[in-house]
Amino acid sequence: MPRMKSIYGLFCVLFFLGSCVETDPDADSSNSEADQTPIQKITKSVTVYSHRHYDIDKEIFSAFEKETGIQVLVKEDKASKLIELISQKKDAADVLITVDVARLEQAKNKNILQSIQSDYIQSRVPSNFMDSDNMWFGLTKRYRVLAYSKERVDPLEIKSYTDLAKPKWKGKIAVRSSSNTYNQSLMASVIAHSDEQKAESWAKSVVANFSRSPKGNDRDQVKEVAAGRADIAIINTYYLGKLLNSENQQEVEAGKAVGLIFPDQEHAGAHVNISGIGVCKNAPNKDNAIELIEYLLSDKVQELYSAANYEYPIVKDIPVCDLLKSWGSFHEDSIALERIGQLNTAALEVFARAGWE
Amino acid sequence: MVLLVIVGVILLPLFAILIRAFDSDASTWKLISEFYLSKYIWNSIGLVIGVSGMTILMAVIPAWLIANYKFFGRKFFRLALLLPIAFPTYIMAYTYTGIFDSTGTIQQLANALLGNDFANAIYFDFMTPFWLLLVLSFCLYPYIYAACLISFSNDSAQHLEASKMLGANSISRFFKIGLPMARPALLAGLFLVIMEVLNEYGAVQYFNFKTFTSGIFTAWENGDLTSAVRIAAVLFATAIFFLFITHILIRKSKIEKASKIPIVHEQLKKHHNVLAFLFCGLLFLFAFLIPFIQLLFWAVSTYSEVVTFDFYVVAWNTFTISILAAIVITLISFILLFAGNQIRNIGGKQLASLGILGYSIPGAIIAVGIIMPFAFIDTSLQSNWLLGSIFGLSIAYLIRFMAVSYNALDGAVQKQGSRLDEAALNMKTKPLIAMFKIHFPILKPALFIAVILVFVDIMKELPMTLILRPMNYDTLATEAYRYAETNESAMQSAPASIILILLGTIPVIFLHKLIKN
Amino acid sequence: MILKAHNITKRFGQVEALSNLTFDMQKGETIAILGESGSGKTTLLRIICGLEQIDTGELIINHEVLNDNSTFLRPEKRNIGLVFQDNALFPHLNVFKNIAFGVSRKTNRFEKVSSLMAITKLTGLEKRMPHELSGGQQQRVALARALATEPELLLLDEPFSTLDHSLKNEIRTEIKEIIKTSGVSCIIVTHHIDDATSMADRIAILKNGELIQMNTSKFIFDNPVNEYVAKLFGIVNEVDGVFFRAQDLILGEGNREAIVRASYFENGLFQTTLQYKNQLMYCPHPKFLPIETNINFSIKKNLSFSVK
Repeated sequence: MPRMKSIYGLFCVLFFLGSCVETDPDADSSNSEADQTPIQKITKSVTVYSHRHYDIDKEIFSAFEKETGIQVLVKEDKASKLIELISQKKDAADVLITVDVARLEQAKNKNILQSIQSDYIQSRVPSNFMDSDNMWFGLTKRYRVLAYSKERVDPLEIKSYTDLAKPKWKGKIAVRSSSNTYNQSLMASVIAHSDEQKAESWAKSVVANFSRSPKGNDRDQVKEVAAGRADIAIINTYYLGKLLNSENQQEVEAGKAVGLIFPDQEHAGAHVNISGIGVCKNAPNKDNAIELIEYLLSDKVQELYSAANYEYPIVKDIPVCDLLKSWGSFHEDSIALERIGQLNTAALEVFARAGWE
Repeated sequence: MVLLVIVGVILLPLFAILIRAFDSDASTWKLISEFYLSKYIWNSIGLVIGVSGMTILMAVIPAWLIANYKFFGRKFFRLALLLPIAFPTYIMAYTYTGIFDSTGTIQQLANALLGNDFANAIYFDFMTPFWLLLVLSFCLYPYIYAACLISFSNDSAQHLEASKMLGANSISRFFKIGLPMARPALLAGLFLVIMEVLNEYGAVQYFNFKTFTSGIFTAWENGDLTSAVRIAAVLFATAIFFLFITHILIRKSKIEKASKIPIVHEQLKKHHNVLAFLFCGLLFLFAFLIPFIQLLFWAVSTYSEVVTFDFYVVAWNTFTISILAAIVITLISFILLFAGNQIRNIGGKQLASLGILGYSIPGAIIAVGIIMPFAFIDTSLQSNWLLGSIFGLSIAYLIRFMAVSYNALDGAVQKQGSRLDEAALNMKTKPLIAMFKIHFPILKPALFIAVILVFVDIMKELPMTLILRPMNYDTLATEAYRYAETNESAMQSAPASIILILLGTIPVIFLHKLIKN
Repeated sequence: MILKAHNITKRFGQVEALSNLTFDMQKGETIAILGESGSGKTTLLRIICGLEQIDTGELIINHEVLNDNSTFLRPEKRNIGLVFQDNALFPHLNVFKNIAFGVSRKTNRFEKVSSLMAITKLTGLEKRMPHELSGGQQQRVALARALATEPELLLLDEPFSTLDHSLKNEIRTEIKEIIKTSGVSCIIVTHHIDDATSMADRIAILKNGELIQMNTSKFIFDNPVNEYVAKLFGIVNEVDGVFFRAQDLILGEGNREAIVRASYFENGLFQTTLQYKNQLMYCPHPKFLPIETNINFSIKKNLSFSVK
């Protein structure tokens, strides 16, 4: 029984400690309440709902806090959940950040974003990377490209997404699931440049060329190629950057074993997706939100995105990091990205019909 | 009255969700029902059956050996085999993939020691349904193991001796007495396992194994919450189906408990001793030690870039929210159980047990159900009390995990019987006083066990924590997820994972001491 | 000789549960092992069953060494039937299956179980589950289950402790009959002298792990080895260093005079408390004696404690 007693002692202590600390986050959130009620504005703040979970974003936000005195309150989750939360509680957030265009388009359709007029923003973001109603803007670019085995593939043999359908690549293509949003946007762009029927027959041929049924993440696809079980992987550019900078030497080796092909240079250009941002319709701190967006589009931050996260800056003529430079310059698809977002459902249907798991 | 309020709070969000299933804006529903729904159903049922079989094997055999025999390492395994319960399934999946994939530890070692050809020869594709099943089983078998261990060593000890005296050998003792008598305990544990499998999201998504939960999230991410809710409704029906079956089987096999006698552990001889040691040892090795050591190595190589001051705040957050919510949830289920027993005659018990339905619904869907009423209340009160507060998050935990504490307490109360209530009422004690003066002290150990179980579950919880947490508030689970999912780096998620698992093992050690007494 | 225990010693840690126990029993005999809790009687029972092993000594049943320094025969290999204190009926099996549990499939199970059920007056209850039976029925099922394996030796562990007082006599008689009919040798472990005297041919009295006396109940009653044993059979008075049983105290004669302290009616007699000098004595008496009156007494027969 004395043992029981000591357990209960501990229990009580924990309870006590717990109740002390619990007040901390509460105090935090009551601060944020205060921030959001205009009458008692103590400190300025901006509430960010973000699907970007990168360490660099945290650093950027704290730099923003230091420079402007505007406190950044962040909640990270999947865009779908954040959108649902905002559409139920309209004033919950000031800005929404997603990692692809389809989710931005979703947010716009759910009527939770507002149009923003800012000459600075409009001058920084190329018009095809922003919403035609000024509801969302790109922050960074990521290309969905082909990583080929330097050992087994001659990069001249494959020049376009269309080439992936060639029978010569049977059992050679590694790609992740169709439930992945980057694949969906790629498919949307294929549809946009042809039509659904052609896209479907293309997809069927690609599925027939799969080295295995889709699984894992983008890094895993590169590893498949490096290990010789596939020749070509479809991946987002920055994942290769992360592989090459991994703490795991084997992953670095895997990254070195592949080269990148930016497809469709002779046609529309490489498929590009964005991570982007929009101001929420009932944003309590609209001005701060705009200030934040402008900050994220500044030269300094744009450079940082490339240096720390291997993404391409959305703003033209920003110097990129050495790794990105080494991948060379290329021609990118200039289609208005909102079109890609709008074709998301069509892309899903093509995937389903083509049997792309 | 109290009963109605609590059950109402729990059921309201569930109804709020189900109503949404009838919305007409299901843009991808046609696609889902045509191409995916049957796959979701059959994959989920297949996974449930596979994991059930595997966890029963992994749990019952060592529980039987440990309850009945002396062998090398027995005392250690008794506790050690409980530990994998602290492993969240998605971390286990990422860790094992990191061990077996082509740049993983096995390949590195094979390459370094025996050359490239050998490494290629031993490579196999880890991301297959079979390994998914195994990884899930590693994390989930302790639920059944704990239940069976208690049953084998307490409830059926005397009957096992009786069968021994009647000449039954060890195999027929197991099949004719031990196993049938442990059936209620085994089924109760199995029910938890089934619910966990149906709700598992991280690992199935990574393996691209299309189950209900992966379907729910895919539909939702494609902007079609209505379809997601419809799939959730099918999942809900499946879960109720399993609840119903286990309930019937448990009731059918209801047995009276024998008086406790100390069990005498028979010494296993030579090769039997070795076999028992090997079985328990390998299980512990694969279900805990290997992934744990792998995480430890990763944590060592990445902690300098990941572990900052924030990290300790995160660990502290995790601990405090989990323990607080666990205590509150346990108290509430205690009150609920008690209230249900008080008005037994008019279906109070049945009403109370409705409260456990939340366990059968994926956390993310519960979150949806909560967001609606919470947003309404917050907006009309011009406050931030519910959405994005510790309080609101705790309510979500309550809905999801009440079943865990309720079941733990219910078992203890049933053992105690209603005589105590009646005796207390005879003494003209008010029910409320009886509750605190009589039941509370007697149920202390059960209450403690309930708190521990809920604590471990909350620590591992992800989808509700992500969306309902306060601003700028991270827990170990959300941090581990952040690195593993978005950065695709199991290595960077290791420091958070390892602390999460260590925090989870401490209460498990307490739990072990409690069930030993 | 069916059983022979020789110098059996069993320790649990520092505690010696049984020390140097030696006794034997004849075939067909029923003996009772009588002792209070902690006397070691349960340990002895478990050792005979093979549920515990002895530290030193030797246990022989039917000329076969079951347990000594080098041998240990597992319980399931011993031909011993055990009826547990609370019967330990298998809750998930019906009456028939409980009884048939230990019966080899090669024999004619149905006939054998049926005849046992007839002997134990359980016919018609085959399909009942254990929790649907009365206490006496449960006990008989447990007995039938133990007898079904045709044991050389039957052990009953506190067989009547869970039964209603009013049922006890009846069930004792029933069970004694069943045991005698089946001709099995039987050991009853109990802490009730009534169980021992009513059922057993001989009684072994255990105290603190030692066997202090073993003989027929008549003999022990007349020749207890010490005060402890004597008191097991009823009240023992002590006056001026002389011990005697309550029924040997004769009131209304003799030359010593005692004061009546209490007198109340129980079991057909007046239970009377008397004081002589500073010593209290008790005896049953046919008449009520007013309190605080004086009465003469004499002692019919002194108790002498024989050496074992």
